Amino acid sequence: MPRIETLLNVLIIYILAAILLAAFGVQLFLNEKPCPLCLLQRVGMLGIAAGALLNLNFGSSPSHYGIILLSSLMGGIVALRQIALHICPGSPSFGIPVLGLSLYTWSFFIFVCTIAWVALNLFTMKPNSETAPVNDKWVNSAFLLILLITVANAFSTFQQCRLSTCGE
Amino acid sequence: MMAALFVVLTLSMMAAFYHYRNTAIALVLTSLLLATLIFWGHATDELKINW
Repeated sequence: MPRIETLLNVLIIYILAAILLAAFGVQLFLNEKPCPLCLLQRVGMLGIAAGALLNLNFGSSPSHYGIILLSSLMGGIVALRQIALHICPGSPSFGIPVLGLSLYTWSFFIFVCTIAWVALNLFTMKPNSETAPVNDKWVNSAFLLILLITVANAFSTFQQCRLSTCGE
Repeated sequence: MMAALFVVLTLSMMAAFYHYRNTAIALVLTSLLLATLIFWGHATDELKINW
């Protein structure tokens, strides 16, 4: 895999990990439990990270970028739905704003940027050029970090919602 | 059920790390499908979720 592509795949995992850790911070320290739509957006972000992990472990491939795209689409639609639920003038926003925008708006922005990044990668990818996997300490640490975050999300979601779909 | 989404994603990441490519892809797609179904349940009010 070209070095820049490896770097971007690792970087996106670290960026998503930072975002999800910040969401955990809001959940634990500001006591703002995530709503079901927020949880679905977290699933979308973790799906993106899973696609990037596939690129790093098996070499870049259009199918891995397809998974990233599907995750971004799912997460983006959920974020758009949440924006639409609170967009009417006078209706309160949900959660604390960050730099003037709500978290679900930032989430939508991230999903759109991810779609754009995948489009650029696919545009510059040479045909029949599935490249070799990468194995170094940054990849392993990115995997470990995102895996821990996913497990933590599973535990906190189970603790919040048990076996239901939350919010009922 | 929502927690199951994260469990499936955890399994897919572990499958990817241990070089089970098809399993990892199948699990991620399963997770996305489940998430889409839950979201559909909200949008059509079938699941009666109070968002």
